Amino acid sequence: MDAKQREIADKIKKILVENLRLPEEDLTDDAKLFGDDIGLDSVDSLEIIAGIDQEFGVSMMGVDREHFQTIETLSKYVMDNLDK
Amino acid sequence: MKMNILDINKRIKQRPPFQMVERVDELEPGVYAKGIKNVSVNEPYFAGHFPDMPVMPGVLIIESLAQLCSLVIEGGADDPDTVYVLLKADAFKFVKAVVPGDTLTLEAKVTMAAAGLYKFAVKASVDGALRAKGELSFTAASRDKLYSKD
Repeated sequence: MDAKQREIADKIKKILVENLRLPEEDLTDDAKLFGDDIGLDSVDSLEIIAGIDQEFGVSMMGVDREHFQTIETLSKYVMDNLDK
Repeated sequence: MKMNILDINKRIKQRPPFQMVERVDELEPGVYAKGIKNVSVNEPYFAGHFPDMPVMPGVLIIESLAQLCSLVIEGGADDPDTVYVLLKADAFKFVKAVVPGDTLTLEAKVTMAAAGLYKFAVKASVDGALRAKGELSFTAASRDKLYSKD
């Protein structure tokens, strides 16, 4: 993960902590957000989409679920789609 | 902006006995609203909640606040195929019981609006004293999707 993606990943982590009230220590870059690790659901995914839209101006509405798997995949998608 | 019951009826579809905002004293679309709901002993739910001790159910305080939120959401009623539905009720506290004779002052303030999601900080008070507070989130949904099985 380069410095740019690191910065994005940290902001996404902050969104998850503040908007979804998740404990920061559980949110490693590769923790499965919707799997056994964190256990998010479809309601949470809408909040993630809104948080990312607000923070980065990147729309993830209708984006394939593989991009939602971890903070790493989310940050990569945001980085690849900034300024598009 | 202010709204009386006739104005409110043009904007929301709930009707008695499930209409829980009776007057709006302040409305800034997309930002904030303040309104009232009068709590009367004649309300049907007091017959059972509870027979000897009428107390307004907390979920109906949430409903009152949710109805006020739907008035804040801009253009909520413009597109007949899109409805805003309650998505999440977070961090609610019911500080003190709401009983017949109370006038609930409802307040809803938008804390986030992005990607079809609205989040509100809401509170209900009586005579200036807090009775309940929490957060409510809404999302846009297509009417058809509400009735689909998946």
